[in-house]
Amino acid sequence: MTEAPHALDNRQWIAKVLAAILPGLGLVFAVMAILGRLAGTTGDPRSLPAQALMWLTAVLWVFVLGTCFLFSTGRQAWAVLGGACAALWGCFLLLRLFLS
Amino acid sequence: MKIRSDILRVYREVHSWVGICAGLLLFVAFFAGAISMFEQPLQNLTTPRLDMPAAVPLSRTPELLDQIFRAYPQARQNYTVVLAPDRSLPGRVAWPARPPHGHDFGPLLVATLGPDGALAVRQQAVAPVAHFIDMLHQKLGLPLPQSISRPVMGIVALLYGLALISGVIIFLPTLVRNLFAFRVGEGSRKFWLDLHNLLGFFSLPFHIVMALTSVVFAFHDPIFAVQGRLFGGHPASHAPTHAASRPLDPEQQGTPALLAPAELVVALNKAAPGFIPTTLAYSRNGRGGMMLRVSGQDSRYSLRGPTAGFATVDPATGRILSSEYLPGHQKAGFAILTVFFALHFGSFGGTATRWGYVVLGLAGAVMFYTGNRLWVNARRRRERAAGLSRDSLPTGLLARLTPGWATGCVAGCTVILTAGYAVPDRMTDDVVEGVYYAVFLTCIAIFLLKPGAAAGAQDLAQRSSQSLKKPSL
Repeated sequence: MTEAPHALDNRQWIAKVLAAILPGLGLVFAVMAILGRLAGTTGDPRSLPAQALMWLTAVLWVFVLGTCFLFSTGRQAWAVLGGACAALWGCFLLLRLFLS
Repeated sequence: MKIRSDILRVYREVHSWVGICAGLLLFVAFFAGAISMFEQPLQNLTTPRLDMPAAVPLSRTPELLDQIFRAYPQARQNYTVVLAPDRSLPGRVAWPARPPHGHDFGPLLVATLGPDGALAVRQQAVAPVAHFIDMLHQKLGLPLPQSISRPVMGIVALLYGLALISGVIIFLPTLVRNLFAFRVGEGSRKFWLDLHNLLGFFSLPFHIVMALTSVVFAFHDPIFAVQGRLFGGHPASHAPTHAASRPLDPEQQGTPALLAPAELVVALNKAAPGFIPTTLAYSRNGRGGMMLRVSGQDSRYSLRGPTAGFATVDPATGRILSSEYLPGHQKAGFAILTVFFALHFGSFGGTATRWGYVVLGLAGAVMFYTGNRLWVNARRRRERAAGLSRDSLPTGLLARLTPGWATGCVAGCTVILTAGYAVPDRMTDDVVEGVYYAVFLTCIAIFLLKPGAAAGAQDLAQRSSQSLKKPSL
């Protein structure tokens, strides 16, 4: 196996993990918000859509935490996850505007 | 399967650091969890038998209830008919001694009728040993209040998830070569590594379920709170629906309009054959109506709780009002979610599954132990290669803490279980907690202070210097 030109390392792991925890969680919640809005859930914890979304949120967050180390730098992790987080929350606000 | 070597190195580092942060806590969680698969039988085994007459036949429950309501009017608000009395919950009817506070029912009073037909009431006296071990499992062995231990458990569960992802990534490229390799004679490193990989790979589905469910157990309330904010102002409560409850004429004051428990069981058996009810929990809702929540088992299906599935039943007719958590009667979506819970609790397929879960849980604990051993061995080799003749402080500390912690947990649980069986009357909450942590800390102290524990390090140093002399390796 040959080394890639910019070999990945863990030097900026704190920044990457923080990106997975903060904007990463925001991103996961945005996915939950959009799917919930599309499915028309009421958010009642006793209802099936709310429970399914809760599980999805947990699974996605673990996935984001597990893959954040693949970003080449901490800055990139924050840019991608933060950008995606902002973009998806923007989508959610638009969706709310159109669906209400 | 090929994965870039730098990615492998990154995840190898992640795996070892995450493992070392969470390994010992997860060891306790898995060991105590394995014991908790039989929490109910262990609780019965360690609970002293109450001095009270045997439970009256179910058909005489209305007569018993009449007497209870006359002597304890507050029992009308909230009482449970016990269909399968045991040592932990003897008698035929139980109700909270104090008005219940949310989910916390506090001590229960239990009652039956004596041979002369007189009311016999006792306070339930459950030995705390089995429950303490369950709490060790939930709190990862840390003596913290629930409000702190819950998020701590969640963080450890996230680390555990991370360890699984990274572990799979680093094991994949050598999967075919190493899966069935088990090198006993080739030195301790290979042995621990092969054992670790073997346990990790073959119980991977079990571990994935445990990691995800634990994250959910820790963080479901905050996630539901976010959903409540986003989608509507529902209070964060996930108790089953009691929407349809029977309004009662206030003058009737209780039982007459309700189906007698024996008839209710017959009606329920017709509506849900194969479901074996264990308790009928009656409670009055805010509008004066009666609600009935039936708990019970059905080994053919997954159960939503650790030992039971639930149904909301009309107490006057025995008709099932809500089957969202009733095994075998759930809609597909709820049935799928129930499978996740049942896969955590091992509450499907009856006792055989529970024994299987004991094995899987203990295997999990062994895997975390081997993980720590691997970490220590790897650091020792690196330190010897760097020319250090003794362990560095972290390596030495962990080399001693790991066996001390594991021994302490196993010995602590053994001692309190044995004591609970031998002297059940002495075991109060404080005694159980005190004894467990005394044994646990003593074991850790013994391993930390034991003079000979560095022998392993010297042994390893000798072996590595020998292997240096042999260039063929």
